[in-house]
Amino acid sequence: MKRGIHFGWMLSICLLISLSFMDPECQADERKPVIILAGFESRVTCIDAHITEGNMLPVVRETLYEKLIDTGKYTIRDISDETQHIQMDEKKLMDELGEGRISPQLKKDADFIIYGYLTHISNVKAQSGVLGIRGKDVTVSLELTLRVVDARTGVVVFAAKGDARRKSELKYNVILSRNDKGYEDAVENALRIAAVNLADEMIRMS
Amino acid sequence: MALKGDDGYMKRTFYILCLVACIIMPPSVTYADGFMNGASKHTILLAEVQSYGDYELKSEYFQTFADELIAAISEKGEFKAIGRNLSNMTNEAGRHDETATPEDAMISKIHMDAIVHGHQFDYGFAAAKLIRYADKTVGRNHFYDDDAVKAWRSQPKVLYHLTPQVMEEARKISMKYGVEYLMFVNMKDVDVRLKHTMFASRTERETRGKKMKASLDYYIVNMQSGRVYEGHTDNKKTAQLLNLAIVQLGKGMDVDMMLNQVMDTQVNDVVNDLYEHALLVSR
Repeated sequence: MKRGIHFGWMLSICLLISLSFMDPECQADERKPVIILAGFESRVTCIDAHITEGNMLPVVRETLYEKLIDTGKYTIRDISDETQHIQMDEKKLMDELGEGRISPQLKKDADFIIYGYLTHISNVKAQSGVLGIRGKDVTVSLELTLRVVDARTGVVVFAAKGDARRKSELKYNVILSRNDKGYEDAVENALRIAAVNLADEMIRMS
Repeated sequence: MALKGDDGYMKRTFYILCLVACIIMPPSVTYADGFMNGASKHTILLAEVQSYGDYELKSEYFQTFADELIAAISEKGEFKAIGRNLSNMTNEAGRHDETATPEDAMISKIHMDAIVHGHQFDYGFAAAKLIRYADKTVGRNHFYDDDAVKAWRSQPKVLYHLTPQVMEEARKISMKYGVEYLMFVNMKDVDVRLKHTMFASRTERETRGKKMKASLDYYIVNMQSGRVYEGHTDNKKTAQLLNLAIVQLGKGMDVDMMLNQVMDTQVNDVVNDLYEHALLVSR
């Protein structure tokens, strides 16, 4: 009788300990890290193209989101679901992250938060020729970086860089003449390619 | 006998229950460490990226440098770099004393301590904050002992120690973040000069001839041995675009582009040097 009571107590304690270590979400996701894609912002101030969070940077976020989710290695959550969930507006959330503050709700729901930047964009012009026979090409060159933040500690555990180049102007006059221009399109294409490179870099290193 | 029998029974029951618990219990969640290959690498905390020279750069430049450096260190091999947090990875507040936390201020102090004891410290080209710290810590006369300074500079790879009290504080920070090394970068000098401007017929900012020079020092503090390794890199970049009446030649780029290219080279130099002398640092 006494033995039975002891056994019962010990079994209950062991079960309680086991249950406390179990996390239903982790098991459901097969322990894939849950990543929240917070968004991208620009660190560049002096540029001709109008690149803002509401304009071109969503291209980067969407491309990165698609690439990362395709790998099947992570559970990716977009910030819009999260913001609905915790009833905060995206701008406020990103500002808070930028200041190093992580919402308690995010700490609970995510393992990592990705926060990205447009770090560089420029137009490099190369030209050569003499009177009547000359050529010029202008290349848009841009770089993106991202930081992966541990949602529980706030420590930046990983960073990656992706870059891209696209011709924004091509003009020559030798035998034939050609004059192509399209700065905004070149920037958008370069952003998309840089985002793909950034995602590849992250997948490769993880 | 009865007690012994009870003990045996209890032990057996305990072992069986432990086994049952192990089966029920899922394996501990390890992806936080394993994510991004971090588990088995030596960890470096990139504590500060700032300028303590008499030139200053925009904070965005330091931020981008920090991102690139962390990416490059982790990519190259056995070391993994991390940053303190999203908002203060370069310790902007600690360097400039605006809303600095005690940890921010201490990181700035550790960096200054590493600089003033290092081989590259030049009293005449330092920021005011650093000069004040050097006077207080080492004494002004030290920097006018030309022979001693010259002898010290002639052994650039010799490791050295921080002030003991500062080292104690560094240890506390390293324990907080669970790292083996602290790293500090002093981007002390960036110089942009226009050249041959009389040939630059256009005035857009990217068409002028420019020459850029940049130099930085970096410090690795080994938390186990308490010794400091100091590295140094100098880089140059020239861009020239000529628009004469009948001849057009060259390649033009703006200052941001040049800075970016110089930064890439600096990051490569730092990472190569770090890995080349990693064994030296690890001792």
